[in-house]
Amino acid sequence: MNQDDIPTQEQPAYQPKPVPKRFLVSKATLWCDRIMTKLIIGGGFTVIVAVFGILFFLLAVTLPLFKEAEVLEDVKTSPVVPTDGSWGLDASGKRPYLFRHGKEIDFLNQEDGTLTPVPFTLPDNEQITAYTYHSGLGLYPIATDAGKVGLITVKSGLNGHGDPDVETGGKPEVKVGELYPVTESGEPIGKIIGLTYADAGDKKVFVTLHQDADKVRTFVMSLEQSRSLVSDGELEPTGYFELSEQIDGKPSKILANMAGDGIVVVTDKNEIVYFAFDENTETWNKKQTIKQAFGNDEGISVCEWLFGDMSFVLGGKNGSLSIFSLYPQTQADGTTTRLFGKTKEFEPLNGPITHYISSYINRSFLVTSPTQMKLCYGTTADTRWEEPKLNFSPIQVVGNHELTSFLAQDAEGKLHRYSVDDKHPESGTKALVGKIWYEGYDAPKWMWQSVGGTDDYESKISLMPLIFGTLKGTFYALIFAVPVALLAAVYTSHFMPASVKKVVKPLMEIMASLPSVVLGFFGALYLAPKMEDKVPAIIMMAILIPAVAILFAWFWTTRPIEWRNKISHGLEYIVMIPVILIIAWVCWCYLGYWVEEPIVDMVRGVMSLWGSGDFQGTTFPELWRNGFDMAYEQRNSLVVGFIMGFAVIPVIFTISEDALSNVPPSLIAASEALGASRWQIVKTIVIPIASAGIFSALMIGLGRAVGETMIVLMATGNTPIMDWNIFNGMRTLSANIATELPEAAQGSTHYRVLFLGGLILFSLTFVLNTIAEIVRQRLRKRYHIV
Amino acid sequence: MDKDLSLPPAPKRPIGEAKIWLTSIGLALGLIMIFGLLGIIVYNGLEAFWPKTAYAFTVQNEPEGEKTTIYGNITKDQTRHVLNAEGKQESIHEYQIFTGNKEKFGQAFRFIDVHRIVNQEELPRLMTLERLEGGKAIVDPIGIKLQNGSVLKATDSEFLSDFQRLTDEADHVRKSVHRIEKGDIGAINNKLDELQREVKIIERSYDIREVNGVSVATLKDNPIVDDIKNPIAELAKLKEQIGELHREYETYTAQVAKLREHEGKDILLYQLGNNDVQEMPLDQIVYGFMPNELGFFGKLGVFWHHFTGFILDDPREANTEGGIFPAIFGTFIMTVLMSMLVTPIGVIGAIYLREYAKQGPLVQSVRICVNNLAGVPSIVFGVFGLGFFVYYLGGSIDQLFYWKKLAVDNTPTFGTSGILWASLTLALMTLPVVIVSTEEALSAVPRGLREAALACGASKWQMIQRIILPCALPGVMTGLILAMARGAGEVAPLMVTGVVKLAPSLPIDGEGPFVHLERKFMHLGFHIYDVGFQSPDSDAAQPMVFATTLLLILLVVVMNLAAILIRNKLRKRYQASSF
Repeated sequence: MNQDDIPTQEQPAYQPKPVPKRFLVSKATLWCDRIMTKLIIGGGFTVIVAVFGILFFLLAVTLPLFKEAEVLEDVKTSPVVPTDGSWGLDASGKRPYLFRHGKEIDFLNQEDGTLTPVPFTLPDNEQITAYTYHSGLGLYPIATDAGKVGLITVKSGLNGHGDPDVETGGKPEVKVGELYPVTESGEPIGKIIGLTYADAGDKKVFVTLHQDADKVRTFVMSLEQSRSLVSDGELEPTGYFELSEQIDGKPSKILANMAGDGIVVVTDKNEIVYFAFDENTETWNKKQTIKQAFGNDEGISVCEWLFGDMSFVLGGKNGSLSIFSLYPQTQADGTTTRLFGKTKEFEPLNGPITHYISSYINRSFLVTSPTQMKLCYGTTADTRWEEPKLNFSPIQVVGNHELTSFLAQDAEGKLHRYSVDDKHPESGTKALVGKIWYEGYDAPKWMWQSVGGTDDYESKISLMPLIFGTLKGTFYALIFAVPVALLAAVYTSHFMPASVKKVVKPLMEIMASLPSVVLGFFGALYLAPKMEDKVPAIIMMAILIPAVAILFAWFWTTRPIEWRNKISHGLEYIVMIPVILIIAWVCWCYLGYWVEEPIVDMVRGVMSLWGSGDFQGTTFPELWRNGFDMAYEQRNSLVVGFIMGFAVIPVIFTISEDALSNVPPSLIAASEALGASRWQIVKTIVIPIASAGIFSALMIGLGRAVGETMIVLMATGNTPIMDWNIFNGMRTLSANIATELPEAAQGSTHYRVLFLGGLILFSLTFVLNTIAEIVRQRLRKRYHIV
Repeated sequence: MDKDLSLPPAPKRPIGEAKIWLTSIGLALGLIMIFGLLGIIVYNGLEAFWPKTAYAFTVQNEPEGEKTTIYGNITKDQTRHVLNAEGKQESIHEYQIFTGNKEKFGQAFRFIDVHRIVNQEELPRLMTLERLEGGKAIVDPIGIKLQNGSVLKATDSEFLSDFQRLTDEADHVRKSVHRIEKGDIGAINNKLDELQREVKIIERSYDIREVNGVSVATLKDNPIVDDIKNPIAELAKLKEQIGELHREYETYTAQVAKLREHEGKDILLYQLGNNDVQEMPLDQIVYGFMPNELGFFGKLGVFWHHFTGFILDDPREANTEGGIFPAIFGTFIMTVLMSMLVTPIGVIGAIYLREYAKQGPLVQSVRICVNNLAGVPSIVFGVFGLGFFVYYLGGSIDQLFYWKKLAVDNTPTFGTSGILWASLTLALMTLPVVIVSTEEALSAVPRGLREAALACGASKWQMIQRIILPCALPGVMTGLILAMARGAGEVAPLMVTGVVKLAPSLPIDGEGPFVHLERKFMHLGFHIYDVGFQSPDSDAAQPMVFATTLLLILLVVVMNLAAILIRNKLRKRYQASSF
């Protein structure tokens, strides 16, 4: 463009010159910039989300533990069905069946309410006089007018998911098993009016009630199966026994446990009688009679086993509900026997308890009164679900094997169908942190024993022993680590030449990076066996090392200056190393043995003052075990405390050393100018200013000790006990996760409780670190201005 | 009245000097602890490879009793405290002696009171044998009975070299057999597995029946697949392939049998102190030497042999003997994988936090959170890794891509713990380390550099890419090395996400897609835990554990030292280049 071309009259708006192409930003650069910006922002967000995702994921896994049970009534179809007969329910809960007229079982089609009868016949035209339904095994134990008992097995044709069974092709089957006479002679005694059945694998027990004239007699008959390597043998009767003489009154309810060695009888006098089988005499002996089980005159309306057959649930005519369990009880004569005792009590229902059904995979059960329905869990004594106002009064209630669904029939014959969704009944706040009276124990306890050997094992998932163990380990670790680390930090930061400090600090940092598995191995396999019989030596060291060091320091500092100048400032620790080593060696090899016997004798003398000095042994472990009656393990908290020191000392040291060194030099210079000695500067200026930093160092050290896994896993016995005893082990949250998580089934209560342990560790350390960080930032801000 | 204005008399010596001495205990203790620990591990770890002198002990347990002779190394020399008849404590000097020959004596160690030893002699001929089974043995060799019936006497000067030649030959055969079994036959087995799975899929999906002499295939109720056009032909083809593989298999087994023809024909004759001649096939012996005849350099040779074997061999006898190569390899692969995952994520996160995000309380709190994540116990990451990566991510992958295997064998592929998930878990765990140190490095890049770059017309990314990242590279490296060191030494999260005591195959090998990220792996740290705590004879395994520990510590310490050195250099550089 030429300058002369500009028109004179009207100045056009300023037009920027087009930028020459060589100055333009290339498209590629712009694109690249844009893409990278998006990528980085996206990536950054992902990282942040991932960090918080951990917390949310842990929360998501653990939350179901605190969910209550969900019980839903299926109101779409409520078929009206006959009320005569006894209902049963298959494992899937989809095909109910009705035992009717003693000669057929009718299978219900839930969709249209039709019944399909499957008849059965008994041999010799015998008639059924009594029957009962066993929902755990899905069978009907029966008794006939010929004085015989047997089983009717029902196969619904559906598998556990409600799909047609491969074996039967979905067709229901009813099978009558062999009948066995109840008495040895085979002659019927009166009419059998009630029976119960227990299956203990190789042993089966039938208990029958006979109406003999105006008396009700009780008989026990057991069958045993002899097994050989080749095949299962025949079931053969092995014992007949009459309980009648030992029972005062008319039995109204009998229970036989699935181990086949216990019978509980409830009489019309509201007494509960417990019989146990004596293996030696092969007789059933009365062990216990419980009168007034509810503590008042309330009658017993329901008495049934809880899963595992170690406890029974007792329902009263006024709605009281309690659980009785077998546990060792001390008798008046000083002996201890396992008897039933009340361990749990529930909120009473507002009417007599009419029905009881229970699960056969856990300890949940459902009880009803004419106006209420309540789903409870036996171990925790929690109410999982409740229907406070029932609009019908159930005349029959039946549940499936797992109690995932149940039926309640009202007086008109209408069948109300319920489904239960309770995945983690054994958990809940009470189970996780509360004291619980477990079966077989004589008092409520905090216990962790998540897996047992048998299916009916009552899992004990209290986190308290683990939290206690974590705190115990942390406590013993910090007791040792804090003084050492802080002293070292103070010394390194202000009394050591800067050139040496440059070497010492990385050394300590390397100590921090030692893999904890190495420390654990070293502690458990090298130190623990060596320390086992050297406790007196260790006690002597703990006393003598500081004492001698102070004495030495006092001695040295009172020497004239010519002496003192021989060790220049900043080299004190080098002198201390041999001093400590010599003391340690003397204690380890000699002093420990010399003092062991005198100490034990002295303690024995003191203890004989109150008469407990007559224990065996002269060594320290023996004193501990026999004298104090406390556990003494090779891998104990002492070892853990010391070894964990390796992990915690460098953490506390590094951070507090930083805090101490970062005290503004102007303050130090000022105090020096005023004539303060180097100790006075540290004591009055440096430590107070750095105290917040030291505090945050302690917090972070605490966090490290809390989460340490491999050391405690290897260097302790990992027993979840609650005991401060330093010569005993512990089980920490972290070690517990490491040992049990690989075996826990995904989604199970155990799995989720372990995740909860992880969540606790996560939150604890996160909070500790956040406190530390905030304190540190405050500190930084405050002294920035100085 | 005159006020006394004079200062109090100055103390004769500085106040609090004694307390300074007291504080020095802390440091002294710390240094003793770290050097003590390292010293014990280095000593024991190296001693594990060093040939120990073998002695012949003649022991008389009762004053007039029979004398017995046993051969062994002294492993412990200690004092035992017992109560004597008068109830007084008495110390007894005793040796723990390693005799080996566990299958003959019932145990590999025994304790002898020193005052019961009548004679202790360094018999020159005593041999330490490392065997395929039964652990080590210390024996007095008599000779070798060769296949052709002739006997090589132990007193011959050529004995040791002949012995070594024969064991080397046996070793060679063993290795060839192993190669065929593991490599060729293993590959065939894998292929067979796959084909058999295909067969099962067809058989479970289609009902194949003879109708009027013609095979007819009908779809079953719940088929795994339903889109095979000609299942009968397909099945026949698969069966034919299987038959072919079986034939191939036969040829390899024939090869192995041929190689094995001469195995176990040469026999070592020896005695264990009681002049009873015992026999042991030479192919049972991996390595043998006469420790008492070795000079310093000879011992060094044995040391080297042990050391290389330890590094390069596979473990034997429930990990208590042999080498730890799979564990080294597993640790290495896992660490590399972890670094590959953590570096880009960490660097991008740090760049975002430092360069892109608007600095304010929000970003500051995010920074604190990331920082705090470094303090969260490693096992928590393991818990997360198992729940999220293994079960959730892995389970989803299985359902998407490996559903056939899941349906037929009911075995998960990625839905179970494995090296990929372990690496991912550790990457997440070490992410804060990388982010924090990268951020530190980014913030240390002088402002002037950025401004200069922008003033020259660089775009933001160009500035980051060409100026800031290169400047911050040492910082990134530091973070990465620290992360690797932490990852290599961590065991707890691995125990739940993929480590096993004995992995049948390495995560990278010459088979299939070469990299098998779903496989479980062995790890040095877990090896220590496993051999130290789960092995039946932990006394006999201790040297092995110490050696492994030494290796792991070396790895971690060297990495940390490197990181510290880089960091120190970095600091100096920026101190010098202040604007």
